[in-house]
Amino acid sequence: QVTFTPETVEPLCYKAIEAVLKDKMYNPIHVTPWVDEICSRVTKDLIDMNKPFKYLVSCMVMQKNGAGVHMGHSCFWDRTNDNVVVARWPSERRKDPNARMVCIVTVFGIAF
Amino acid sequence: MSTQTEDPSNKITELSYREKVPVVAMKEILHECLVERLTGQAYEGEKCNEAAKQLADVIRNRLKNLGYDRYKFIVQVLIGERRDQGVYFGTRCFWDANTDNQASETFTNDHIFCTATSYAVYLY
Repeated sequence: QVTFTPETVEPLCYKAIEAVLKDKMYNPIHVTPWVDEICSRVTKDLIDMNKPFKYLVSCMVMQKNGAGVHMGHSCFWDRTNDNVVVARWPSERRKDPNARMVCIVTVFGIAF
Repeated sequence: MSTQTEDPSNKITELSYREKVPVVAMKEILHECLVERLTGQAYEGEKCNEAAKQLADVIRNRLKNLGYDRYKFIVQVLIGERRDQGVYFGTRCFWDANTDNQASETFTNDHIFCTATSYAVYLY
């Protein structure tokens, strides 16, 4: 049974986020290539795992200024095979006191 | 009608325009749901948290009712407070461009911004 687990996917997301966003300040000109870069890296690492899944990777980068943001998702799919992984940065497990941005990467894996 | 060309290396499924989920229909559903639910809404932490989840559920149910039985639907909703911060949201998909589709809509008022994205993925 091939499944899509958070344990395998979360490290890929954090690796991509930290490689691109660590120690950077929010910049509206640069944020577009940053988001593209994070999505590309995560997608490439997922494809390299060679599992029979289609992937939907989304990345949101927001400047930290005290504003709140909420993300929700709803899926109509096969619960036994399909799964979603959400990586928030910075988070309890991946702290970064100097971070000037908030990043949420969501990966949906759909089996075919 | 959908055709399957027999090829020794891989089978290719090509859907006719009637069987593919139309992007316009998805956009319309997203737009209607956002306007209906969020017009006049101010930012409140707890309420927006629930609103994001509920909105995603409502949109998913409406997409299900479109009647495309071979499709799986995924809906993502992002609601944020408007405080002059910068934000950027991007998405990348690894799928079959012959069969799969996505649509997105944004809604803003004086207090909040909201982006809803929906993906339709074909089940072979």
